[in-house]
Amino acid sequence: MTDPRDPIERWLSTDVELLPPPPGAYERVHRRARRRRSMRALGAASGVAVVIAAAVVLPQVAGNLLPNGGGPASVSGTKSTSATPSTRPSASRGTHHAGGHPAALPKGPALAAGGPTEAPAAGLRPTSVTLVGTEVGAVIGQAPCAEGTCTAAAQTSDYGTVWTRLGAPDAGPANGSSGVSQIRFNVDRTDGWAYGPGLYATHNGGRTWRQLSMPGRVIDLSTVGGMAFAVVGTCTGGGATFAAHCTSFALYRTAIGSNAWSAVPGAAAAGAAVPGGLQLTSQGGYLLAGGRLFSGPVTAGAWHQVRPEAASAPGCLSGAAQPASGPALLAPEGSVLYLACGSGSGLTLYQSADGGGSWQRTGPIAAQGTATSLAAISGGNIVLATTTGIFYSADGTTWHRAALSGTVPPGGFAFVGLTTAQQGVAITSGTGGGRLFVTMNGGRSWRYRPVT
Amino acid sequence: MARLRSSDREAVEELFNACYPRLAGWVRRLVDDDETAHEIAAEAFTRLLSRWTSLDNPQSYLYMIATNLVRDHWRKTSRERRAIRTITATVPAEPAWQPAQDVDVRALIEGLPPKLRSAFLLHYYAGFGVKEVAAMLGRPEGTVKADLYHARARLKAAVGEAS
Repeated sequence: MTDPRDPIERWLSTDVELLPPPPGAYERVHRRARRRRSMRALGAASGVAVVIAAAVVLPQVAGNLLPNGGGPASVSGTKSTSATPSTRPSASRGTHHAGGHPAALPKGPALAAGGPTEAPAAGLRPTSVTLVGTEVGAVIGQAPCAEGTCTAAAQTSDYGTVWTRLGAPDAGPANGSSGVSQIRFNVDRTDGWAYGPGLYATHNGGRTWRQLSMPGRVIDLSTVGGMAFAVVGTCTGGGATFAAHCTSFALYRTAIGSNAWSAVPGAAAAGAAVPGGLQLTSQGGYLLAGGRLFSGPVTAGAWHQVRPEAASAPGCLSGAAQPASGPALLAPEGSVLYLACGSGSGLTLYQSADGGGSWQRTGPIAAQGTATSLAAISGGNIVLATTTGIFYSADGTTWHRAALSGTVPPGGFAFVGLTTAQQGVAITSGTGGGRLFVTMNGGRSWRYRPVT
Repeated sequence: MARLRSSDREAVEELFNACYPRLAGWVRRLVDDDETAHEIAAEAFTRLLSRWTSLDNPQSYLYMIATNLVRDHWRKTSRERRAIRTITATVPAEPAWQPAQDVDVRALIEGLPPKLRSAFLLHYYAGFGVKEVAAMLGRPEGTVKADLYHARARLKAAVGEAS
């Protein structure tokens, strides 16, 4: 180690170049540390194990978005890449922030905060649902109010049986380039986002929300570990079809607790980004957009385009900037990646065990209607939502129509996601918002859960 | 460094301002980019601040945590590289991982057994004495000295093979 030519010695003897903290770093660290202390105290007080940390953030979307698998157990589901205006909730009048950045919005109840509770806003029609673990969740949608239609949110701590009011951003419904239609919460139940196409963030469980500025429409958003990822698109779709007619997309990320989003290298291109194309697991992330599959780490570092073997490449990974062959839905299940590809003859299921490098054709999907969302989970069924209902399969080859209780509107379902092998949620399409359905038997039957 | 009280926010901020730039710079030489370095340094401070009332030597704790986080980062990037090699085995490779300037030396250190690597980084690179490293790793001083000796021997041999 004394040889001056020794690269080890040279490396060690080089002074460390100081790297000053970015602006606001101390405040973010302090806030995160305080939150962890609170979580630890809460866990110790209640005698609850830290199992929550391993729980899945199960974001679900309805209306225009899609869910993303959160963690290892993954709540999975994918929204259709084919934006069909008729299946989207329409934007109605609504209180709408005229582009400003309100510093502090009216306070509302926080997620799983305890204390006094209020009933959800009357007439709330959810357009998106997010589940944090196997019991706590939230929906966002629109509800009648004095101004016409207002954004409203509700929360549950028993997987949708009982609902109470949750603070919501004063954003208005999705309307071209403004408003929100989707909701996500991180597993800490403190950090959350309302988006699609606008973006609002909360860092206190939904009590207050802050509007953030992004370089385009937020098409999709998901969290895993300590990071949140968002797909931002350049689109011209109007009303609730804000994710239609997209010409380019880019992936952004931020540390949980921060409002500083930065572009992810290697995950931007021309083409259409669609809700549900972003799927994150604790092992890595995937983005299906522009007829291509991108993959990368869910911490830091660049993403890259996955180039599948030509012989096995599904048609919907042809690289065509605009999908022409029909919907393309992506759903990770453990180390297996499922891809449902539409074509003139229907929908075909493919699976990949190497992150999309090679694909195996599983078989045709026997389901009626236009596919809108796909979900898969280890040890459970593969579940597909379409404009006519919900279908499930244990092996990807034999498909069954799920039993439904309650009224399903003509548009069918916009989203389906699985929290565990048994539990899952789905949201119907429909003008002005959807209806929430829940399964407790792996997708074989679904029961309507009113948000009241 | 004296024991810090959790209620003393000024002391916390002082510690942050004093230690963050060097810790982040230290991490940056071990990882790929500034962003990862900031994330690891911030996470180390977050863990410190969330439980520092029970710590006598916050600086040691910071570097210990950062060392573990760097190790985790290396594991992840190693998995990615393997996956990328598999995926691109039949197509022209695209450089999905950009080696930084210290990559060769870093790769050699990364290849050390974990037991030797932690001691090496904390002693030779972070500048902690053998006694401090022994306390941080919970090993006898003699064991740490032996680990350092073996780490140096392995690196020297690896450099010889590479040159």
